[in-house]
Amino acid sequence: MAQFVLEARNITKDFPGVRALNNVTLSVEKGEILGLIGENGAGKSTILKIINGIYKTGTFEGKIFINGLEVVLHSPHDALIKGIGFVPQEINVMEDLTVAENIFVGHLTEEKTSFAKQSQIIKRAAEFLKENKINLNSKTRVKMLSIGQKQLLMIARALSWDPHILILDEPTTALALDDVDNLFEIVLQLKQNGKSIIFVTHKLEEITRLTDRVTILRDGTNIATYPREEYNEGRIVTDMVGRTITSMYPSRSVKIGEELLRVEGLTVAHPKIKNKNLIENVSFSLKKGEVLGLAGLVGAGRTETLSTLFGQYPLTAGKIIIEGRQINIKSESDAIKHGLCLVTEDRKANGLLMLANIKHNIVVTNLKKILNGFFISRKKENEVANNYMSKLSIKAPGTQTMVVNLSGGNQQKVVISKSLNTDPKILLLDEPTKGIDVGSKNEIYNLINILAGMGISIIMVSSELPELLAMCDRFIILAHGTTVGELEKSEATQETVMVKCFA
Amino acid sequence: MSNPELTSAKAGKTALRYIKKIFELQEVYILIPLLALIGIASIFNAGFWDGTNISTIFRRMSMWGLIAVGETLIILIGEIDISVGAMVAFVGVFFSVAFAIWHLPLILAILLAVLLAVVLSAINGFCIVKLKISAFITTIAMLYICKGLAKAMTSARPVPILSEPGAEGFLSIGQSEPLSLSWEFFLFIAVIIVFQIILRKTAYGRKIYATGDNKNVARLAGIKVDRIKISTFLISGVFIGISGVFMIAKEAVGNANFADGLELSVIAATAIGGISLVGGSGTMIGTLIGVIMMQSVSNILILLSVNQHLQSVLLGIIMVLSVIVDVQRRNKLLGKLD
Repeated sequence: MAQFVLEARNITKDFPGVRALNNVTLSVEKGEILGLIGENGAGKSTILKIINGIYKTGTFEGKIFINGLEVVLHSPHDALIKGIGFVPQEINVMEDLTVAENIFVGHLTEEKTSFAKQSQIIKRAAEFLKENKINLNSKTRVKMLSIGQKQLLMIARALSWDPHILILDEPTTALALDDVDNLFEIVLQLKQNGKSIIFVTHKLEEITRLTDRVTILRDGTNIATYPREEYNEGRIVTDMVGRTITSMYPSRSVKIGEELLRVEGLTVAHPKIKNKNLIENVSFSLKKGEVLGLAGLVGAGRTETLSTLFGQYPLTAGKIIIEGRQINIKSESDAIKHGLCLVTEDRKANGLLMLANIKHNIVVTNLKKILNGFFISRKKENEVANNYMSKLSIKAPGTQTMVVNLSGGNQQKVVISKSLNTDPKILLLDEPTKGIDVGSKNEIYNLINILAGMGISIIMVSSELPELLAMCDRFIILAHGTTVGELEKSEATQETVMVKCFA
Repeated sequence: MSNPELTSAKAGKTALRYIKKIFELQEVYILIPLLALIGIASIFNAGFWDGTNISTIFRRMSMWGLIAVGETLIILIGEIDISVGAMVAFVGVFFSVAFAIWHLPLILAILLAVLLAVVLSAINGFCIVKLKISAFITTIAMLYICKGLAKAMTSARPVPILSEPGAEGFLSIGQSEPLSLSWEFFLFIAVIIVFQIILRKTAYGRKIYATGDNKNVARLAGIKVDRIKISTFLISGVFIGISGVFMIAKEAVGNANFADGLELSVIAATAIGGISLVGGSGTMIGTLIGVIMMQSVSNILILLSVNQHLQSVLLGIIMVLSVIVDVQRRNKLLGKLD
């Protein structure tokens, strides 16, 4: 048996009323990239928190071994000292400090003095970054970095403790394609240097591209571990989901109708930077029942286009025409009145009222609908909420369940319910499957098809190109805040889209 | 066929379910310390349950309870107003001067005073919502301005209104004791009930909670967040105006030093009442309990002849304990949010 650098053996962890992990074993060899895959709620983050010392030894059953020796982990700092580096999923950096300070925070000085000399730290950081082939400038203020660069910075910070094992929790969620490539290179480099890596992801493609072995969790138990030679996408998905998904992207046969929306020369000034446009001369049209994909790299203006349509930025120039009439959208409530609705990218920041339950979240977008005279009718309210609960098969004990207690997929269904509750003609979907598991993604795709079938037109933005290609009828390609091309479904492939993105 | 044992077991279960349900209500947890406190008071001093004592508590709390209603709305939408005490003092002084020195008709003086409070509160709201200045800074500035104006207007001397024609009837509104209580008490209770219903049962109430919970989400839901925010300041202004006028009706004299430090009692009462200081959660019943609690505590401490200076120490401790209980409960309710 190979010597494991890290082994978490027979871990069982209970929360009040729930067994989060049941006898889960996870092990990683020296110089190995282990993929850890599973749906939301499968127990991935719980096992990570155990390995990372957030749940202290003693709060769970089972043992943790590092290099064959049993260890007790008291805290994340303790885990770090014992050689376990952890890069969390959420970007977690100090925006006002420099790259160097962010890397060495926690051990700013090498000697036992309390004073940290700025120039020394910057020099040390520069050497460190060069050594690890991470392309960042140690003097830069972190707030100037892109999301991808911040992700790299977090990896650098974990590496600065010289860990044996580096855990990356869904590191590509926020990254654009070229950043992902860059990240993968760094991970492979680390592997060559003899580090072990646990790579947590939702995405099968990343498992097949990068990892040497994959462990699949479902409902808090080990389902299977496969070495690279035995990778089989179908089987991994089945293992994850617990049922066979016949087709990841369901097909749709919707008769596309007349033109519903036309956007001409949409231009919006940048709200913060003078003499710069957020989007410039964006033009496209949308037909009834059509699913239109906005393709482009991060920063191409996709989200900004949707936000503009939803009244969040004032137009500098251009026209928005719905059903042949030019309309004036000054605010979100104007947009809703004209039949537009936006599902934002960031569920937590912009999607859900986290202090409220499912019911209150769904009805809040259209309170008029549930009024009985001056007062809210409990009956109408329950009707509306129950309707969406069953229509979108939101899995929860009831409409009174707090949304914080839902899985990512179900939260996303609540967000979509909220939008549908405004009875929109045009649904704007910004990364509708971001951070949700394969099973829920499939359900969202089905839902998109049902909505299109009902005659709702959809504009969709997604950074997962295969998803966009499969779900949309037509594609508008954006780059540098402007429309650079249009592709019909028949001519759109990853290549043709990317070529236009970079053109 | 009925099995008596089974039915009683069933009844027991139903009762248990009801008890459980009661404990799911957030106000219950605030009531526990209040009941404990009253228990202690009853054991050590029989005077607490005395009819006059209870009605004193109710009368006194009504003098500032209305302001707590307005403050609750402002805190629910995620802002705060620290200037309420100073505004009440200024409005009171303004009314006294308008009525007793400028000799304006009573009704006009009252209307102008309330209008003044609304305008001041609207300025707070405007600075916070439209100019995006932090609520702390804005309202601390307003606190200084109002304190200064109140003193400047009277050269820091009391302004008696007793000799003014019409003062007698006016004072009887503030000083009469219907059912051993006060008119202000009934107004306070009515306002609490009305706003509890508004918060729970109307679209406006839902919009307030949504705005305080997450203003981005509220805006995306088509709610005019700025309008909702400013509306809470306007409502608060009305209550500050009414309280300021009532204060003079009770004291018969305008004084710039009245209501000094009142904002602290008001904010403490809302915190004790379970109104989350980051907005989005809490109820008017909670505020009512918080107000009763603050007033009872100071009453009980006086009855127990606790050193006057130690009283505020105890109030502070009780406030922190209430908030700890509330935060724990909320964490339990929200489960995963860690």
